[in-house]
Amino acid sequence: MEFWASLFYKYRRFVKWLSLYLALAGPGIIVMVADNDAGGITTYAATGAKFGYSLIWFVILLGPAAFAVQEMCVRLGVVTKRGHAEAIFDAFGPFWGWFSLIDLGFLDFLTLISEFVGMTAAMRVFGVPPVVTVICVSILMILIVMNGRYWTWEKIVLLFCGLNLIYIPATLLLHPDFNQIQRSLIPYFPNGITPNIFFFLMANIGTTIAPWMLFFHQSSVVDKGLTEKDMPWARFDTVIGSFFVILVAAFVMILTGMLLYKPPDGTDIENAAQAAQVIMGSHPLVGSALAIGLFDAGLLGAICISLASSWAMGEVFGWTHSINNKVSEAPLFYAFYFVSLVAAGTVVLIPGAPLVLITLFVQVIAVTLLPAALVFLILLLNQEELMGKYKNTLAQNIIGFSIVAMIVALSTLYALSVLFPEMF
Amino acid sequence: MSVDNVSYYEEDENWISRTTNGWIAKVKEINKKYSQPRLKMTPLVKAMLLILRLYLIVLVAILVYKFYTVVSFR
Repeated sequence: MEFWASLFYKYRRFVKWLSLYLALAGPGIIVMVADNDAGGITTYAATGAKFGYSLIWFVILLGPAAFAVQEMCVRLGVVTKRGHAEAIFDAFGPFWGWFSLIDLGFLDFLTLISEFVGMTAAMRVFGVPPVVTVICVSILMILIVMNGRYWTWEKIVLLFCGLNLIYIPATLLLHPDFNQIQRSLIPYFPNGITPNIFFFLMANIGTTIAPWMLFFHQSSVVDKGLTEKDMPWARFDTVIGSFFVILVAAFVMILTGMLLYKPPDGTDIENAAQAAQVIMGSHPLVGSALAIGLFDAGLLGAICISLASSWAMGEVFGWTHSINNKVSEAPLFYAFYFVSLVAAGTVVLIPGAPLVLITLFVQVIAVTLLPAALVFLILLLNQEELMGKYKNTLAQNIIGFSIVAMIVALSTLYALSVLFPEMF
Repeated sequence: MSVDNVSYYEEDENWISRTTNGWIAKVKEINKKYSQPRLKMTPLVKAMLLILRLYLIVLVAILVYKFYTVVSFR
């Protein structure tokens, strides 16, 4: 007893710090880990299978970029106490407001379908029929939000975020050569910048920063009730989230790089479920982990994306729109959540539905919203009357504008390469 | 058609028109509420919004062109 008391006394500051962080942690980690959704895992798995460890350094560079963007959302949410959709309506008027809301609704619905595609593909590896996956996932997602407490919802989702780390032990089981991985962290392009590598770079950028993340993060900060004094914690939470998003991405690339990459041209895979199926033959445990991780990634993505749309609709239409409300208190908010969920799940079950086309279309629609949402974010962060002392500094503006310009240019090129594959 | 069927049909029609009118009224209310953008329209803001409009016009034109080529190819 005395030992524990002295240990607690010795580390009481750390314990206090940790308990405070755990109370305030959530939105940053959730949004970042959910960014590694089914599409994200597929992109990282395909990159590893095609280029081995060669592009891990590039994914690591994307971490700070994602942090810079999401940190601005945190500041905007904490200071204005408004979600991103409402902030756009208020600052830019109905034209840009409706444009953002309709585009977000459409894009989120398509992305939700792609998450269901990922989840059903992952469960098919274990022989689970798609209809069972869709029904079970829909029930699970409805139960998660129906408890009427943001805190409970957040902690359940954080558990799923923890499951996203399954790629780390799965990769460690294979005893990767860390010296070789360390050498690959020096930036270089295998065979120079070819159209093929350029396509993968763009795909990685496209999957690291998505429009729904801006809307989700800002709304969740508001729903959690974070205030200006919580800002350092919210920022720290986003740093931790950025670290995890890159860690998971790197381990997925190492995993598929070890098992599927064959020099000099690598291996082409269509999705992460296909990679899991192939790996299952030689390493059943690792293949299963990849499939479980893909399912979890799809589930996290689906939870966050459907909430991002529901929050945005609630903010603009004036519905009660907090997870802290029970279904009877916020019927339209929950109805929108349930309907979009069931509709997206149903589309996946339609025989002959153009699911591959939908998955590709998501990338194209994203570039109609991402530049606008990012530009609005920077402009809002420069309004002194709105942001006060939390307004962007010159350094933040230079970093912010550079990142936005890079993301807009590369995501546009990516969309063009999806539309016109012969161009690159 | 029986009298009962006619009344059900009319009820359905009323419900649809009521719902549609309700949504239109809500959209008008939102447009009115946000009719005056709060953002200060500095030259930088104006320039950024103009560039954004042009970017979206070009993007939509490319999408329409792609749609046209896909449809005409079929």
